[in-house]
Amino acid sequence: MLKFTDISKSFDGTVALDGFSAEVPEGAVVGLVGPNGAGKTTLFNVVTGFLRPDAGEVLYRGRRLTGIPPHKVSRVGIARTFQELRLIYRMTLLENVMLAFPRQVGESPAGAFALWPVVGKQERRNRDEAVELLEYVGLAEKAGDLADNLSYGQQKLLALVCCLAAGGELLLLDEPVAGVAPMMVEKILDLIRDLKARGKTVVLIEHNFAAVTDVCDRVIFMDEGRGVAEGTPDEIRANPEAIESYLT
Amino acid sequence: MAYLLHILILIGIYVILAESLNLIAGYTGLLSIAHAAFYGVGAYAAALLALRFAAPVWLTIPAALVAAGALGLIVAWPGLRVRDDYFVIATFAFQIIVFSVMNNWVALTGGPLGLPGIPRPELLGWVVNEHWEFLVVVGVAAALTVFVSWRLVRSPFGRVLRAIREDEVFAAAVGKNVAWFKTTVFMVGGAMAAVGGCLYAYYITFIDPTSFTVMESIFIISIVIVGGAGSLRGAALGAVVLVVLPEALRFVGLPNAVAANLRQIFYGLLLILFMMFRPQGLIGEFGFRRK
Amino acid sequence: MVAVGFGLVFATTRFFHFAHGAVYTAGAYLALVFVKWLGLPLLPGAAAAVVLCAALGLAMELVLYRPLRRRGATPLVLLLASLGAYIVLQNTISLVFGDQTQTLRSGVVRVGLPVLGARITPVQIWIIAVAVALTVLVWLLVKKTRLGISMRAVANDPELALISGVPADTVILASFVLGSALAGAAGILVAMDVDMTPTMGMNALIMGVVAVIVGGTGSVPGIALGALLLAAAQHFGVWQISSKWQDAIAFVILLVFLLFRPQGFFGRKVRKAEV
Repeated sequence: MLKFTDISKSFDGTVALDGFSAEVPEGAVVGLVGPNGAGKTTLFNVVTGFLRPDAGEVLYRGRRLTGIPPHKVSRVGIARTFQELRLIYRMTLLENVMLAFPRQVGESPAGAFALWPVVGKQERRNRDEAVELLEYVGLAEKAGDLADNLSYGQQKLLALVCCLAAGGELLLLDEPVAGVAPMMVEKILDLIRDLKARGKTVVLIEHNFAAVTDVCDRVIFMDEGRGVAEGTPDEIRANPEAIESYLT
Repeated sequence: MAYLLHILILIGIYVILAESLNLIAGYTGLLSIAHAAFYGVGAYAAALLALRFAAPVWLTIPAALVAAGALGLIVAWPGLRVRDDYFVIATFAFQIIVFSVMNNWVALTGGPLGLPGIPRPELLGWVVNEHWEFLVVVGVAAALTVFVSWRLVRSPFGRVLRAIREDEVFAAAVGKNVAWFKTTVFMVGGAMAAVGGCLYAYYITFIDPTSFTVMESIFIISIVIVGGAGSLRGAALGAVVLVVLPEALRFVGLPNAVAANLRQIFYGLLLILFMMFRPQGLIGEFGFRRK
Repeated sequence: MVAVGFGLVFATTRFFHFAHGAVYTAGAYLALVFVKWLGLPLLPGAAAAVVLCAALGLAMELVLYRPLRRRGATPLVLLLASLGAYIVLQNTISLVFGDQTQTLRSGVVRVGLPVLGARITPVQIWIIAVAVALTVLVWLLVKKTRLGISMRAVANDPELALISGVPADTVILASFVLGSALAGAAGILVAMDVDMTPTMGMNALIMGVVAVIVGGTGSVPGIALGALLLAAAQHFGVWQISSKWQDAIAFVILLVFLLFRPQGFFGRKVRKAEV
């Protein structure tokens, strides 16, 4: 589904990505691990259009992604979360989710005025779907609360819901369980497993290797901008290079 | 009595200016010191067409809207590239450039001498002449502006604007074309301000560049800030407060030159005080702060 | 000079200190007070004015910007407050001194020496000399002295500087003092050349801002270069088009740089938020 060919990217002289190549098969859950500064988040940024690679190509279902701006990448079906947990904290959960739905007629001044019965209908439909999504993760009773009032783990769940609302078929999750209470970690991992059952493809960056082992089919180990090793979680755990630079 | 009506008309015009800037700065978070330029473009467009071509109102106003829309397109462009405070400088630059054009391109705009003798507008046979007649027109226009803003703000469009204000990276990540939204809101807000300009031109029947300076832009942004950025009622409240309060100074009986300076000092202090203690204004939602 | 002063403040505090323009104006008017009203000879009078300007900058930082920063103000909020400060200061000057042009010039206006086909008065020579000297001094300060290095540290990475024990607040204070002194001196010099009005600061500030952006923030030679280029472009424009368009030319240049090269010639990137 996702194919990286020789991606390179440098910033002001520091090399973030150095000829990274890999493939993510459709329907898999792939873990991206490696020490800090290995280039994992940079890779996400390149895929989602926030950064342009200096060299190399990203193909999504055979289609070139490099050079496409973030909002278009989202519309193609790739959704992501951020390491720093981005959300609209001043809006309610419902508003956050409804924001994420694509193809909203009311999102232009013309639409808001000229087509307002259509907009009204779409808003109602989206609201119902938003509530459903929130129920799916167990946040429905808090739908009218401000996103700011959720716990950290709940906020991470919300971010995931927004990905689904945006129509993500490929989900790029940047540290989905980092800093989250253990009970929530389980919940999030269950969710990821369920997403796979529903046919989504997931790539996640995580430092929590137990979580990675728990939920990933394959793991790519990155260091210094390159893919160093690839395999099942157990294979990676046994890999001497990985152990040396990271897993100890 | 005429004086009271005059004040009310001014309030009406500033409500239009403030609500339109509120859409850009308060709801989308794009602080712009170029709003007087849109105001001026509207005024000059209407004045020129009315004076040179005897164009009727239903032509001048759309022309002003188009001109302002085009300007909005241009002004929004740097906003897509640089950080907020640099963008403010860019809007500052646009404001001064537009002012320079108004002041220096004498053949087109009459330069510093301005354009006198603008004819009164005629709406379906009714020539708007008296103060109270203007008040009606301006009142309706202001109400319409508030209505339009209200509908926009409550729509999905408004939701995206607020999202852009809070976290435009997130907005982009969920599929919103941030550049398009920013440009559109500038065009819409600018066009609304241009309507205010047209009304001003028709009302005073004389315009010159001194009404559309950087200070005027700062005054308008002060209204939005004091009243409350991100609040429809706030913008209106701000207009009332900032138009009425300095008028109170008049009654203290100071010589004109002194009063003008004191007025400005008053605005400057307001700006400082509000930024210091209440950046979200009297009843606003957004304090130009990011989490 | 104005640009370098502005650049200093901007680099360490990362926001646009609009009121800088008012300090410039204040310099000229304070000198007026000392020299004309109190009858002091030129050099001490000017020096006193410069010192007061530095104090003014200090006051602004302590009373206005520091408390705001403590409350978590973004650069935007600081810019607005600075705008407010400029308005207050400029209008106070208008109130006290009146809006008409005042002069600091002493004696008869001499014709001036011919240099390269133009005429250059002694005052102008002074201006150039002082400007060059001060700029070089500031550059040396920034590059060599401990204060200067601290300034650059704070400019580059405030958090890291704090952790490394650099007293950021003091450094910022110092940059205000220095920057304001420069502005005041510039104001005095210009006033001696072309007289002064209360609104002269806005113009100078504009030039300063453009020069900083064109030359690149954080680099003294860059800013100086920017200022020179700006002046050259403006005068070239005046020669070709007409003097009325000076401001517009400056701003068009600014916009071009903002759009295509926001870091100026030698500065660092100022793009949007990183992901």
